[in-house]
Amino acid sequence: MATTAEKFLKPEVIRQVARLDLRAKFIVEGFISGLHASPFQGFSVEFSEHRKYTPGDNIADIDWNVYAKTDRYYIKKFQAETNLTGYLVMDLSGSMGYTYRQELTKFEYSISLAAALGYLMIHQQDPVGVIAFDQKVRQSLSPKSKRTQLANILSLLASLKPSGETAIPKSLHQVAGMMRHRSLVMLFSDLLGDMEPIRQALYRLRFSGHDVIIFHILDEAEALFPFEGMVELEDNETRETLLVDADGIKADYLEEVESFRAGYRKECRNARIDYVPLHTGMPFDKALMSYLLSRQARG
Amino acid sequence: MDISLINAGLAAGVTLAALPFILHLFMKQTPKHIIFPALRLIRERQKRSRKKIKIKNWLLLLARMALLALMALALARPRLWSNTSLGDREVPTALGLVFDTSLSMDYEQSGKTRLAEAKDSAYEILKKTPESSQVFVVDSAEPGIPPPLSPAAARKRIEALSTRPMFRPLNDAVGQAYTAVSESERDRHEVYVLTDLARSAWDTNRAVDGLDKLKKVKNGVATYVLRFAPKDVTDIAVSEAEPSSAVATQGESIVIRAKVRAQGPAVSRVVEFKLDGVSKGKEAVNIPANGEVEVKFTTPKLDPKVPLHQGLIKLSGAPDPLPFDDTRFFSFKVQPARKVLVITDRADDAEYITDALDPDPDTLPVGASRSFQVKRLLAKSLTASDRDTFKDYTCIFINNTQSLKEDDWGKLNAYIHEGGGLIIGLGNRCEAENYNSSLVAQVVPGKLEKKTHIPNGTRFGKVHDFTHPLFARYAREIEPELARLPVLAYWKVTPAQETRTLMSYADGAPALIERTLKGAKTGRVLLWTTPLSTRPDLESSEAWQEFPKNWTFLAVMLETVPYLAGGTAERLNYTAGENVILAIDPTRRFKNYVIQQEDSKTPETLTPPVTNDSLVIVSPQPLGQWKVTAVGANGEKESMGFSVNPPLSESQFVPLETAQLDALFGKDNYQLADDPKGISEVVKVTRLGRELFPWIMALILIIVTLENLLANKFHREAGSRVAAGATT
Repeated sequence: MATTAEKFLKPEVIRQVARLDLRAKFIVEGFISGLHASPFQGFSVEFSEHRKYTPGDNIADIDWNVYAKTDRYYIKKFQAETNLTGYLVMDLSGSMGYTYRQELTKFEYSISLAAALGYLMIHQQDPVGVIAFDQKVRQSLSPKSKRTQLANILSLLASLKPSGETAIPKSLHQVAGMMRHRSLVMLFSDLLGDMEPIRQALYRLRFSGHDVIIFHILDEAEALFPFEGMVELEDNETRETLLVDADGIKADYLEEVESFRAGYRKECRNARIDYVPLHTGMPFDKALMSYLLSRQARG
Repeated sequence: MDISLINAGLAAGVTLAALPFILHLFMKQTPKHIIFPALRLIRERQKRSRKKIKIKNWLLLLARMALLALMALALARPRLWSNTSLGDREVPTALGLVFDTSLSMDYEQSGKTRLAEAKDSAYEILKKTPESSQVFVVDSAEPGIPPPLSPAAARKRIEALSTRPMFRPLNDAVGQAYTAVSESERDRHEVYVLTDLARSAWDTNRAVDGLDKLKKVKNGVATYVLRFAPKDVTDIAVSEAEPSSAVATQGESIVIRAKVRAQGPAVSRVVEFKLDGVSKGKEAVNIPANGEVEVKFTTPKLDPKVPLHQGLIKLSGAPDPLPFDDTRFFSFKVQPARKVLVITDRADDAEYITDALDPDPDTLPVGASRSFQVKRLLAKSLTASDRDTFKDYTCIFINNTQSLKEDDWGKLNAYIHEGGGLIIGLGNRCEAENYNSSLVAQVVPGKLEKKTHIPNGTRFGKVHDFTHPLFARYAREIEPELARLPVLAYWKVTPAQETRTLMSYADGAPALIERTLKGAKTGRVLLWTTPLSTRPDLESSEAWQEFPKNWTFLAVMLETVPYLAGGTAERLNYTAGENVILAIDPTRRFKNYVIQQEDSKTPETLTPPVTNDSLVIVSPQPLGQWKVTAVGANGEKESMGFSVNPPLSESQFVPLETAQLDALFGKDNYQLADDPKGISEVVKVTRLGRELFPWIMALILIIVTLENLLANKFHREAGSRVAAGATT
């Protein structure tokens, strides 16, 4: 049974929280709570992992809560001594503002997630910044690790509005040019564009020495295609329409979505990029877990 | 054309046809408008699917095209391996019907002979043959190219066919049919061979005649071998019935030896012996399965007044499916024993000749008649009375005799000029001077040059004329046997004029010379350049060869006496198809010879032969006893006769193997069928070819199913992709 904190991992719940800073806090707390309740232990905002106690370790480092649960001695291993600069890269395309069920749009889902990640990173004292783009980079916030940075991030994220067409590859090249040090780039996008130029842009980021996590966010309707009967579909960026039999096309469409994701998954694996396929109906913990795993690998 | 309605009001119901359309209009859904940013994924899908759809559409198109093509093809009813370009029955045909009329076709099973069944099948074939066809009916017993007949005329010709003894192989008959059919200009060419495929009717050492002619026919000549072989053959046959001698001696009995053979299970039969139409004996015999038993009958003492006897051996006791071999006929003459004089210096030089011609009766089989009476004389003891009685002898042998007095040679000369026969055997004792004297040279066929001893020996070599009566009976066997016999010495002789060498040694020197002397009657002298005797010790210089110990000596001696007597050893028992040669008295001239088979009502008359020494009757075919009556100018008559029997091979049914058939006709050049259904089937297949209709229909079914499956699958996919693809 989900705890009160954990319920904030659900998009439909977090949607009811209007303030972004609270959203971020609730999501992270829910995530941390879930981590402690689950057998998958080892992460927290204060320390990076647990390890078995061995004679010679400081007794003060023993995590007594874990001992109480497992009857074994674990000590907390504290965060890495070096900090990792993170960039929350937000796609402002019109398609990101889409929601079928009038719940969280892809963009709202993205900024909620981005806020939570920003929250996590600031609490880990990692410098974190924000870059938003559509046809080109529109907004940016330099990465910092101060506590005040979180407010700046949340403020910027809250002010972003998705609209119009997007040029993901061009923007990513621009982003790559903006980053001088090795960073962790966290891209939030529906990637609805030609794959090949996007792939090249991602490789550019990787060749520049950056680590990349792609949060590939689709609307729940885009991922599950819940339509029935004859429907007229309209692309909100290009205004193109197509009349289709939803029941007949569903299997093909889902196959295409899977193929679309599989294409990115394969390219990302080749480029050693973390690829996290998401849709707006999915809880946030998956995305956060991906970040932490990535963070741990680089810590 | 007026149309009226009985219930016109109800016709208004036709308007209800619009109901579905109205419902369609009213119930037409207005599609829901949805913003959907991932539309590009659907477009991507469409783009990638378009190529697949194209391929699938092509597949469908091909399947439908194939369907139409196959349907058209099926309606055209194609066929494989057809012999004619036209498939229907009404094709004018050159039809050869080769009937095996050998005696084995008389085999009766299920109440019908093989020939009757063959005829029935032929009638069926003729029924299906267009009237404009040419039919060539070949009777295997009749040579010559058959004339073309209409199917109706052919039917009558077939009705008249009957079995006859086989004296030429079916290979020839098939060749006749091929020749006739290949020369016909009809569209289709077919030859049916109706036979029981008994091996005895075929020459399996060569292919059928006329195969080369088939190549000239554009569409080929289809050959159908229709087999009417009996199943589980059972036959009881008299396989042999021979008198112990062709010429019996007056006042003596003769033994008739018969063999009865069973093909099939063991049976019991009664064997009956008839002589001159009168039953002379019966004997019950048990014949083992696939076995043979021998039966002997002895004639009564033969009446000197009856010069010719004709008899038969017949089976009775139960019906037999093959009747022709249940009886076997024979004839033999009765005459006094022929007198032969043998003159030698030493008694032992006469022994071999005597043993060959007139052996001790105790050494002969019971009932064997004494054909020759041999008198032996030593040259030194020849008396005047002996010389005066030379004419009583059929022939005189002078063997290894040193010399004879001039008076003796004179008497012999006279004897020969009166039709006598002299045989001289030259040995170590002979003096050339005596034999080369001017008087003797008129008799002896050559000049004695010298005795020739061959250190390593030579052999009898070449027989110059196999048709010579001395050798004709054993023409094939005698030369190789003689060529095996070593000859250590012989007299080198230079043949005189008007003589002929009948046989030589391997080194080319004459071994046997014949001289014919014309006088009141024709007389003959035979000169052997080696003696007609030998010595027990082969090392002895007097032992020149071992010829007298060989069977060929006996064969030649037995032929010599009849030959010198004015005729060959007469044969009176013949196999059907052989030419019959009857010896006639050259001193008598008859007006004609009337020949008649015992069952025939129409005798045949022959004119006397030019040579007037033998009467040749060409291939008499009806089996049984034949009478020949020589009719003189003044009405005087002299009776002769002979017997004709079927070939033994015909009563032993052995079917042809497939490999032998292949060798006869060529593999794949013929179709074999056993029953009416099989006949129809092979004819249909060969004539029309193998019908592909069922296969095409099956293919159509498969393609229809495939097309349906593909169409359903493709349409479902296409329908799901864009039910009504409208883009703006």
